[in-house]
Amino acid sequence: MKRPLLLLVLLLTVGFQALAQKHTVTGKVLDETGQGYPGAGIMVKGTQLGTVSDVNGDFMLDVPDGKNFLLIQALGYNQMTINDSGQQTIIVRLKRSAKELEGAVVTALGVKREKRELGYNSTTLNNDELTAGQSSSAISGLEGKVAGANVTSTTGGPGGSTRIVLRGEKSISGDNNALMVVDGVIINNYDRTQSNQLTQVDFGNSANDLDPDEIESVTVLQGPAAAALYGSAGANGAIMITTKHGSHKSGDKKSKVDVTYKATFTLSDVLKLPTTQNQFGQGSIYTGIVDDREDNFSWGLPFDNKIKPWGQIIDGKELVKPYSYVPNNYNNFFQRGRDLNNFVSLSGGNETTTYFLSINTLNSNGVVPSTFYNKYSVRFNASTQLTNNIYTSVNVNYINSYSRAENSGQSAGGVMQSLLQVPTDVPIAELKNLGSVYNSMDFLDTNGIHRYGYFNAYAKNPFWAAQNYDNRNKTDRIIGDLNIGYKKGEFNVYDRVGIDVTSDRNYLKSPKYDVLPYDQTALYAGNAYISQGGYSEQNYNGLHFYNDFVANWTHAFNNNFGINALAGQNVTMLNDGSLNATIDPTTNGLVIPGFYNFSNNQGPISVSNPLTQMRTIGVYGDVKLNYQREVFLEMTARNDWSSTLQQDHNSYFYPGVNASWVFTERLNGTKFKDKVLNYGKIRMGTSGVGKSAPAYANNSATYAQNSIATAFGSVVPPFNGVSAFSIGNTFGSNGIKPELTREYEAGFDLSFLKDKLILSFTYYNDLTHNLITSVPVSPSSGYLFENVNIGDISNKGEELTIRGTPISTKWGLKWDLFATYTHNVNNVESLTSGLNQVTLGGFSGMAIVAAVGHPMGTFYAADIAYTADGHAIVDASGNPIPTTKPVYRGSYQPKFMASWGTDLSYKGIKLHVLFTTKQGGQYFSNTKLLEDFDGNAPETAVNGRNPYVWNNSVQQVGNTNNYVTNTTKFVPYNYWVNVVGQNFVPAQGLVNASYIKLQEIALSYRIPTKYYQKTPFGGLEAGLFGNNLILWTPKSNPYDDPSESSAGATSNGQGFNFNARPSLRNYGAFIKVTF
Amino acid sequence: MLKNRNLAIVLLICLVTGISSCRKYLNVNTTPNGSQTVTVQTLLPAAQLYVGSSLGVDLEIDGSFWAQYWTQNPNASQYTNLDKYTIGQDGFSNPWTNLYAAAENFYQMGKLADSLKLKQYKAISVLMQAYTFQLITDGWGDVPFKQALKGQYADGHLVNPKYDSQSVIYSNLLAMVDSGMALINTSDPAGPTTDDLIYGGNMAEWQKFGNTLKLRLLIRENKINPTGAQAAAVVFFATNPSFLATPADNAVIAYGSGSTNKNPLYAEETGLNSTQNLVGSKSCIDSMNSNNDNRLYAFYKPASTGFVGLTQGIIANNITVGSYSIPSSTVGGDALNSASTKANVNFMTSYESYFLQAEAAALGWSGQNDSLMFINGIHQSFLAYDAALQAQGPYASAGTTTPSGAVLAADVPFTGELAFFAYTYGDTFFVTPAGTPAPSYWSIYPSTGSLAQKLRCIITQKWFSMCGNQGFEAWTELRRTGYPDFLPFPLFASPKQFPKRFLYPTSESTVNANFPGVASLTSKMWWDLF
Repeated sequence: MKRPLLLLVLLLTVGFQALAQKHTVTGKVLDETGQGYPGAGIMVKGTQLGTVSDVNGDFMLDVPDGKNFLLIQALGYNQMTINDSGQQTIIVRLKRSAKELEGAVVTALGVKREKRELGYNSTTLNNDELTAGQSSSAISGLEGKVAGANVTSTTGGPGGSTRIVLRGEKSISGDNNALMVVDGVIINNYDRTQSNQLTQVDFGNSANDLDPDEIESVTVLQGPAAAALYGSAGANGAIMITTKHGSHKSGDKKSKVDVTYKATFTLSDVLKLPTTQNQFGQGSIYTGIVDDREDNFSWGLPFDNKIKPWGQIIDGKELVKPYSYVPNNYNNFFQRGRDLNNFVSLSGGNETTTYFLSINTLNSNGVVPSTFYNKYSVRFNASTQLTNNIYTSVNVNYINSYSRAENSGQSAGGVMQSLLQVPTDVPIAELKNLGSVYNSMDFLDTNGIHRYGYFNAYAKNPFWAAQNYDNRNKTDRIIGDLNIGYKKGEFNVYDRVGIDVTSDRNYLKSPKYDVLPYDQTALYAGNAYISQGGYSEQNYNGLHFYNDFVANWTHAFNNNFGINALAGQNVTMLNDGSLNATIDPTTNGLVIPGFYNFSNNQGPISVSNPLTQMRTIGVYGDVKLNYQREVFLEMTARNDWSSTLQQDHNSYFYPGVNASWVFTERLNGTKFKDKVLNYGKIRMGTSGVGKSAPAYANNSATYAQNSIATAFGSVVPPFNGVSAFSIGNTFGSNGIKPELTREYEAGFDLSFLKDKLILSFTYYNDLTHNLITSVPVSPSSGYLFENVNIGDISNKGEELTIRGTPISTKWGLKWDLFATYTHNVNNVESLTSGLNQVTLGGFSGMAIVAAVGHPMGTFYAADIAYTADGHAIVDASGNPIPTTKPVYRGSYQPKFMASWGTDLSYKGIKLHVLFTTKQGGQYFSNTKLLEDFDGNAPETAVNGRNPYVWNNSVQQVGNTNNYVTNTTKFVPYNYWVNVVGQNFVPAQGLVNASYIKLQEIALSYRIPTKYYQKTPFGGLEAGLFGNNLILWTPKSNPYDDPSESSAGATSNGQGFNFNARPSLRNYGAFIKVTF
Repeated sequence: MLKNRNLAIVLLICLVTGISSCRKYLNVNTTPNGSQTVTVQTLLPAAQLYVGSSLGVDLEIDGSFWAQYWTQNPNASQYTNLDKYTIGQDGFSNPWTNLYAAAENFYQMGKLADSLKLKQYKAISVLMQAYTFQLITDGWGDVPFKQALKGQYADGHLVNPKYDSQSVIYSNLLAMVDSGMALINTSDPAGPTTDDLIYGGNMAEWQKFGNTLKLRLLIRENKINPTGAQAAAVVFFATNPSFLATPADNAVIAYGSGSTNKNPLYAEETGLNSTQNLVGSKSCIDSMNSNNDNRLYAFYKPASTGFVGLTQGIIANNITVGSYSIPSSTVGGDALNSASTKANVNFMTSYESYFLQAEAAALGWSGQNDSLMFINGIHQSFLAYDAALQAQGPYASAGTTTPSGAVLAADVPFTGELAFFAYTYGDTFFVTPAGTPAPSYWSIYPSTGSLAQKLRCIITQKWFSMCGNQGFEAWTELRRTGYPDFLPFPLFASPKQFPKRFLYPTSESTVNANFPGVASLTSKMWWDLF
């Protein structure tokens, strides 16, 4: 009987002979500084037996007699082989070397491999590296640490959206975020951001539910080669997260529980607020209103510092203040954010069983008054090795979060929208007291009429908006997986079931009010603030289920050849459903103010229950060959069957191959290797990933009681009791094919001067073919969108990581330098059916498009018209004229990204500094346009607001093509208010998105054990840190942090800041103890 | 080896059963979020509502600005560009999209009606498609027509529909009206009922609607195609067609049955945070004041000092809006008055019908008395706003003698009938708005005058009657005839040329491969010889 069959039979029979004679080895793994190293893997060479070191670095392992070699693996350290020579106790001191190049990494399906085997690029960070800056988000913690990754943390604080795109955007309509995999199981990364970009509430995205403290390591697989075995989901690369686990122990240590406690206290404030001009205050002198004390305009007289009244006249009285500039005015709206993060873990194990339990609490108050984010999570995992070669493990993570976020965007309650319309001389700090009639948005006058006393007739008091527009999110989520496997000798067969169950609820309240200005003097009589008030609940339920059945065989034919073959089958089921109910403030409304309940409705409540169901079946295989562990070859193949494609054409196949050669093995024993190049590897590969269509994309248009919308209003059926069904505006075709990404990559990893200088370089070239998207069709066809395969996008780029260690002394001083460089060129290669471009998103006259020959995400809008030789064309009054057609104006994609950092350590003291940068690229700043319009922007005060000639401008001669140099001065007010302010040149809202950021700085001290040997403490560490700390932007951007976004994490309409949530700078202290 | 073979069989069985259960497992891609089927009874109201929203919001605003009933409130800015004639392509996306969506739904309804042999639904489908396409072509000129509405694979997958010339479209629309009319059978039991939001399924009314629509089409092309139009009209009038004759015949959608069924213009205003963008234009209000026209009470809300219009297109924000009249809630234009929610959207009216008949009679098409038709037009306009006049207008005081000779015992609200008499025959018994006397041609029909004089009188009166309630049709007739001829250029208009068309939306110029090229705001319609 052949071996595989034996294996199958054995699987079905119970009871297997226990192992033969053995001896127990205990030991301790130490890092370079002599501290115990947790999480190191210890394997008995030539067997599948192994354990993991505990929080103090201790381990215990039963070793079969005659097997004396132990392999020690730790992320970021050299693999070491130790001969236990029958010893009972051994101490292993890890050597941190060739950091990027050797050591274990977690690859697809959670398989741990040695980095030298890989024919593609990947980056691994351990917990220390990930949490060096103590970022509250695991994704933000990757910023600047992974070449090839474009990480955008829109808020930089707890609960905000974070986007991570590897090697450029590959899909027009689908999500471009990297796949998130936790312990081998895909997790759901959905967007909690609500509504459209104009009026949004940013509750962040669900990948941020993971607590960085419970993560043992993260491996980023940049390319599809790495992620091919995840099928469709891995097309954008993958972030492989391994959580902490307990470790095996035996003997007298059996009952010992390892306890870790960490507390982090963080303070936050706004990273960047717009700079304002400081010469002119409230008013609108150019329309003849010098002293308009209810205007949102800073187009008033120059400051004279005299005491003047401001705000509305109430009962004949008014407030006074000096007519002068208020420095740091916007900042006075915000409060200091506070965030307390507690983490406790208990772990332990015996010879056959391990367990790990962690509890994490995060309580934070946001910088915007009334906002908060609280999260509680529990993780439990356990594994057991049964005597009959069957092993099981279970991993459960429960997450509960509760948050409140402000309205952003242009909605009636938009906080930034209101804040940015406060003139430069109006002290924002004084608006805080909402009890004062002068600040109130709603008080009763003596005649019982609702009044507002607030100074501004066009924007609400931001303090009031923050208090009264109440948006909350509650989440309960369970992510778990269950493994059962059989491992014997060279065979390993296992089944893994993973689920991610989410219940996510949003509760959005908008107040009802109908108030008149108190001051009924001429200008604003009747200028009422009215809203019918609204309430919305959105209940999302997601069930994502994965099952993988995998069989693995490892064999060494002789000392030269080795093989590892894997075959697997995957079943995926994604069910997402929502139940949403809304009392819309414009089409409906509340009856009784302040009562947020669906019984309090003026008219029919709009209810929707969108559901999607997607299923796939995949089979895959992976064969790895090695020759003397020097040359490696890997071949992968996968075939998927997807529910979202036509039944008879729903199968797609994609193979891949990659190879690596550690060529320095040829140099063994040479001086060159010892003195110069101690490690070198070249690698190359090609791979494909198929990506299926979105659910229902191939369906014909269906019928529903669609609301019939005009620009701002709508009529919602049933109409007067009559049901009215209309045909949908989107249709698809059965012929939709899957998207296929084909990637070629090549690179090398080199280590010089005994690992003093390490270099890793990768070049890749991707083509994504048959992109699926909803393409706008001519509305005269009766429809607005068709789902089709639209064309091809390419991404070409380079990833470079350099690490140097200029100083490393025996007495413990070590200085590391680190840098990454990422350059990606994205290009829309072709679009089908004669289209030149597809609109991805946009508003306010600014479109974001995928246009042939341009990067995906190119801005497209009217701008100032220029002659062919670059002169601005102005009209008879000297104002620049707009182009008659939209023009392309750059993309949101950066030209390159880089980071550089340094780590200095001496004994237990560590200093970590990391800078990141993105250069090139644009973003659309509504802040700029709004500040230009209301006269707050510095550029509106150029030349003291006196007319001047537009720089380098010409005038057209009659209707000819001739131009003459312009000498007509334009009136700044007319340009900023009537040209820019009326949105004739939306492209003037584009701002250079380049920045340099002090991403992380941290100082920590690990107190040597000798000081507390007699205490129960096993380790004690404390430190100070800051993240997202300082931002440098070009002079042309006095407005916002370019990372801020109104688009959430998953939308492709990135690059828009439409009064988005402000980003935060965070700093604080932490303490960590182990018992 | 036996075991081996058994195992292989087991595996094979698994594989086979696996494959069929695989198919079942993967068969989940029919969307549960929309219905695969539909009924004509639910398509009809939806399609009508699409037209209602276009007609009531975009076409009404654009038309009422360009026919100078309304102007932009300078303290806000929503329609500034419209008022300055500097509006861009995107200003016309919504009506284009909604009108084609309306036509698409009528088209699908027609196909379904065909398959179910529901002739009355088919008749309405055809008539309403003709009506909708006339709106589209009168707005934009040459537009996709023959290849339009056929985007889906089942209909031919024409996602880049070709443009047809306006003349071809007009001749096709006439044929469509004829074919629709031929299907009408007033005793067909399988017709619509309450699902017909316009006529509640009364096919006799649809007959009048169809006839009036046909007359509108013929009148529109009269100048460009005089002989053809006349020949068709003579044949048409020989059939003794019935037209919309009383306010009860008016083709309207009555809104306001619930907060989600607001008049679409009012819904639009609420969506704009109830900002009162719309203000009465001096061009119209001054004329109505000087003409003692009590319809002011129906079309506008009086300001503190009576009916005061704002200069068309004045863009200066130091204006106290409270001292100007705004469009009334009767036409859905008062953003702060919830009565606006119940305003009707007018598709076609009895006064339009009579003004069309007056023009036909003046052209010698019908043998009718043009003078009588003209007076009927004015009369119908007053009667249509009878309720509004009674609710909002002035009182006739006790002791005065009404036109019928009765003496009023007590103060009574001014009815439409009374206001009509006051307007037409110069009765001065009643309290009327102050003003200088009107030019005589406005309401005194030149029975013996030239055709041009008659046309001027008819269209000027038509313009008054359509104030803020059929703005698009008024602007269209202004383009066709040049009347009224006393409208000034808006203060900041640039260029100083009246707009003659809508701009094609960017969705056409960027998406439709068969897009013929942009046309400027001042390029004319095929029927526009003015």
